[in-house]
Amino acid sequence: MSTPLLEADGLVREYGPGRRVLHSVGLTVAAGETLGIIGGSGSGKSSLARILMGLQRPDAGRVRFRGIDLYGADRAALRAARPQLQAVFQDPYGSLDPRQRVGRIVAEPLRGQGLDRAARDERVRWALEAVSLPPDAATRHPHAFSGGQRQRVAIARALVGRPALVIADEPVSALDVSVQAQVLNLMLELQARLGLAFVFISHDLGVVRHMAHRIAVLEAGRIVEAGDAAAVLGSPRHPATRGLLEALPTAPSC
Amino acid sequence: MSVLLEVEGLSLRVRRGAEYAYLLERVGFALEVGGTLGVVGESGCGKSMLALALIGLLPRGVAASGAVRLDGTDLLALPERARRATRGRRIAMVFQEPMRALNPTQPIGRQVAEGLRAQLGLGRAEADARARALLDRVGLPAGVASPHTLPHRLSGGQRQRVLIAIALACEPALLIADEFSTALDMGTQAQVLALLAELVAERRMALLMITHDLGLLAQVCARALVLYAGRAVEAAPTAALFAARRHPYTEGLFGCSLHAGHTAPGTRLPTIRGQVPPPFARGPGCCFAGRCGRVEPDCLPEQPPLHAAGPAHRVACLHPVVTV
Ligand SMILES: Nc1ncnc2c1ncn2[C@@H]1O[C@H](COP(=O)(O)OP(=O)(O)OP(=O)(O)O)[C@@H](O)[C@H]1O
Ligand SMILES: Nc1ncnc2c1ncn2[C@@H]1O[C@H](COP(=O)(O)OP(=O)(O)OP(=O)(O)O)[C@@H](O)[C@H]1O
Ligand SMILES: [Mg+2]
Ligand SMILES: [Mg+2]
Repeated sequence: MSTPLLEADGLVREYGPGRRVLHSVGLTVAAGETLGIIGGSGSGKSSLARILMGLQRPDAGRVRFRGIDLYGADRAALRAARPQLQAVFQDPYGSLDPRQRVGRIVAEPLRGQGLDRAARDERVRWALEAVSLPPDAATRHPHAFSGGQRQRVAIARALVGRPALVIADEPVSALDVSVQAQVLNLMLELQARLGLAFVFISHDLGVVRHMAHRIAVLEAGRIVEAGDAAAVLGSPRHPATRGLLEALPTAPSC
Repeated sequence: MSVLLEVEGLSLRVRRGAEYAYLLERVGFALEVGGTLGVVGESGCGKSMLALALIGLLPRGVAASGAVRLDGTDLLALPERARRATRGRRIAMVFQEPMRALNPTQPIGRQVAEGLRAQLGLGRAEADARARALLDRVGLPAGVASPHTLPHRLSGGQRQRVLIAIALACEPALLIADEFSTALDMGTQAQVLALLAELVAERRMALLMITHDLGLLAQVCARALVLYAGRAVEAAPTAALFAARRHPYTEGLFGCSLHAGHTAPGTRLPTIRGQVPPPFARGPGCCFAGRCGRVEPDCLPEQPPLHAAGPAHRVACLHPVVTV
């Protein structure tokens, strides 16, 4: 088998002594694949995501993206690979610089890519339209948007450079069903066309079922079950997985 | 049943240079004591602006007109001081973005206790004890998150629960919950919902819930209000809406629900084509006309008014969906 796009092993994260929230977590993501991560609130999903994004050095363990150690010594290789790895954060408000206009925020991953201004603007226009934001969005500041619009700005920024992998932490949780469907369709389309891979974190099991090829279940900082999405959701083996599924309300008929 | 909240002709206006636009246009509804109303609509339709107008925390530059009557008193006409006294105590809100609403430098226990001290005049010890009890109720016992923790040390769902505890602290007559469960797993959500249901049933708290989760709408809210591009386009008992949607927009929205269809994983999900017109690009006619499959020439010159479409069911459409 070829090297996976993303490979993590033995990840440990501690917030102070005795506050270990990740215990030796390992996972792989292949090019063009979606790995879903599910788990209860506080199980460690966002802590894991930040490590996979290259933003939070783990207390132990390693993450390799295209074979490059995200926390290793080879800064040059990392800089070159970095634009290929993008992130969507759980709290869009905190992740968008309030002083910058949205056009500039979205264009950020395109910097240093050798694109001229016109080409950059064109890409930004494409990305904003792809997430159904109005064309004048580029000239406004993040505070003048609704919560879901801000979430879409963050998604546009992650997708604008056509990266290889996007780590997305609750990317569509604040979106209504219609706009959510538009964004999920966009992600699927880019995956089919450009071979994008996703790590997709969500508490909405319906969304995860729709998007993920494989699923890992996190409980109290440990992966307690992992496998093919249909198998994990269809015949869960671990009590934690069953617990997550049991609480699913029966869909109202309409 | 006595009316608690009466919203009449509520409009929110913003200015850009010499131009004006409406984020909300003549929205009206009523909510009785102990009543539950769900507000749905696509991203950018004005749901959070409506909530902020009710609680009196509109961003600078957004001007409100119309009336928001709580127990007969028009809140829009009150001076800020008097308005502040209602906040937390009579009306409380769970904000859509927790990190924006929480004080980053204050321990969570203190933030929950603050309202109890300021609004109810409780002493520190009593307020702290009540705050701890509330945090327990929303699934944040000291073992999970100590009251001395700062908000940035919490997970997304934990922050959301702190916000819920703060909002419930003074047992408000009206709770506005804006997407309160976006980071809650089903088990935690069920726990919080049970608490809300208890407050509605026993303390007659009224609940205005903004949600994109139609399952949650059906489960919690007796009535539903559909907002589109700043206008109320359909209002009905939730059960009636689930039985039959009259506005083509509502019908489209319900058709997009992952739970509604039988879409195979990885396949294209149904959407409503096009997008919500932004505030400065809304024409005089029906705001959904540009995306509607049932549009006729008479939809374009002016906005269709809300009219009766069944018992307590109103719709703003000249060519509503009819199901047999
Ligand atoms: N900066 C921090 N300092 C201390 N503890 C933290 C910090 N960030 C998170 N935690 C704790 O680590 C645990 C895991 O948090 P994390 O944010 O990874 O959970 P999560 O699975 O993303 O939850 P949610 O679904 O609620 O977003 C939680 O118990 C949380 O309180
Ligand atoms: N401070 C502001 N000044 C001007 N316009 C604003 C401001 N904040 C939001 N808007 C605009 O007002 C409209 C309604 O925003 P609102 O936040 O109420 O939407 P929403 O229905 O809550 O959407 P979401 O589901 O995405 O949270 C949007 O078009 C938004 O761009
Ligand atoms: Mg999280
Ligand atoms: Mg909102």
